[in-house]
Amino acid sequence: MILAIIMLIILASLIAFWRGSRAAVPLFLLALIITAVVFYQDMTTPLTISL
Amino acid sequence: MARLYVLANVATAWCLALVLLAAFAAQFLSGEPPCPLCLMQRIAMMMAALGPLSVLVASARGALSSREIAVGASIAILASLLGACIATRQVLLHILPGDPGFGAPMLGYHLYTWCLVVFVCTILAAALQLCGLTWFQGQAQGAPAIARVTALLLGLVIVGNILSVIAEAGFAWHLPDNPTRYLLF
Repeated sequence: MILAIIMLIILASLIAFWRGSRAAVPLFLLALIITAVVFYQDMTTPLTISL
Repeated sequence: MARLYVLANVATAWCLALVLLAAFAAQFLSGEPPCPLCLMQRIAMMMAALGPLSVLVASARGALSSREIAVGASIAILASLLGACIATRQVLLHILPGDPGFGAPMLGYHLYTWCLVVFVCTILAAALQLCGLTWFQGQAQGAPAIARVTALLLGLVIVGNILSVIAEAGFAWHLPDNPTRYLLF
């Protein structure tokens, strides 16, 4: 669900770019930061996949 | 020079969108739901495509300037750096001898290896655009139709991936590390 929320923010950023809104870049940065946090959580969580 | 910038950004945005479409098609053709790292790489690729798209939109409005090109290139570089980190992590997870890797290989390499190549190429393309600003002068009128089609294509790719993630994760906050089915069904 968190990944779907990030994608929704990216979609909102795309729409903002298209409409020339000043919110476009902040929305992009928000999506970037949330993705980085999710990636950090993934790195620091023990793996359960088979190697 | 301005037309070259429009062309370069059309090529970058369409390359990223087509790679995303190929990954989406491979997901359904091979019947393998993507893992969280695969999806994060897709997300980074979507964010990287916002950079060239912003340049195309500015060009379509007749407002293409050095500032718009620099902002677009920085968006592409930031997203690609994060994407390259994620792809490198996944490559390293499967680097041990005898490890079959995650998913089916395509053209000899796994999708995450191709992702790393795409992110490095995107960073190179954006850096070259920034260097080329030395010769960029004034503003240029772009093609609104191309910008509209590119935005529509990217929008559809993002919406398709949102529906796919919801189908895959169901109502769970995080995806399982090694998904084998769509949890919503």
